Amino acid sequence: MLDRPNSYIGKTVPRPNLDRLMQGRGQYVSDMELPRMAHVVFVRSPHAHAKIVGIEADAAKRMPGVIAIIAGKELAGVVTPWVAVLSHMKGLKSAPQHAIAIDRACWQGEAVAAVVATCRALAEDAAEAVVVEYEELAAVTDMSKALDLQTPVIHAELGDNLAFERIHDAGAVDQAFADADEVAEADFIFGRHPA
Amino acid sequence: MPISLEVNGERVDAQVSPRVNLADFLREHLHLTGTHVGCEHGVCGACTVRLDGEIVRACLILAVQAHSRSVQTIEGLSDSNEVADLQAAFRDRNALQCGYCTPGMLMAAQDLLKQHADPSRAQIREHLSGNYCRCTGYQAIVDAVEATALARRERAR
Repeated sequence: MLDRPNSYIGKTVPRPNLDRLMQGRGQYVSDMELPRMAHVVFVRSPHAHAKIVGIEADAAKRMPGVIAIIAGKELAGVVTPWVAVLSHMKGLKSAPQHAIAIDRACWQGEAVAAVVATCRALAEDAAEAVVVEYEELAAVTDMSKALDLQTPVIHAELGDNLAFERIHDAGAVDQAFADADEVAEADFIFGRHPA
Repeated sequence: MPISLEVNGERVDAQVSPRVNLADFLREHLHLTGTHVGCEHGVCGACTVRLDGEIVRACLILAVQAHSRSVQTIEGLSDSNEVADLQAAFRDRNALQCGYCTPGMLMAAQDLLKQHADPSRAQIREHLSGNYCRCTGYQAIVDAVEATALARRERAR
């Protein structure tokens, strides 16, 4: 069956690191401790779509343990935005996504400020003291209505709210339906596209 | 506040702020990072530890509540070989991928097998229903627990 005797295909390959993980001795990011390490906590938008009118962080900055409070504009000087396109999904559209939102939050939970402090608890305390003024904008949360004319376009530079469309059209489809004894139709909803 | 407790058989004396939860105390103060923080509100099971023999959510217990009590973490259960056969079954059946949920799974599985020597797959799923796994899809985990239960019954005969 295996014409490639040295291939891994078809073989069970044991993982040498499993024991360490099962003993509780893994090194996950939150397990790492470096000397004088700082901790970051994010202030996040509660709104699905909102203009960030202003961020008041002076009181938070004075709280114990706080090292810095960084908003989107400052971070943009050192972090380029991510454009989420894929070479094997031609036509996938994506607006640039900044590490921390600048001027506008486009999803509930998007980070609008980073609070850096000497420990996580103090960073969380200070994050509660950061006051963000939002101007709520219309949110688009129903995929079935996202392309309606009256639905606001979230990223104007992309033209519409369609991220990606792939149409499979093979064979004489219309003829097949016309010739069929019965035609069944269904909508399939999937939670995620890639895993 | 001063607290004194036993952790994995060792006495621990510490000064803690009243608001510190047991998970953070174990991880940050004692550097026992095998207990993981997933949701911080008691639903994911990654923080499962034993408190006086019963499994609990360390994220929902304050460190001060563990004063004068006995805590066992995955490190303790592992080092004492209490879950060695469970760990071997998990390894053999690939019941973990990233391993983040696994300490909690092992704690909950061992808790089940201590109470029921012959659990059905439904009972295993029920007992592990408070432990979320994002990677495996649970099937291999249930397989591993079932296989361990069987092996323990064979050894007991």
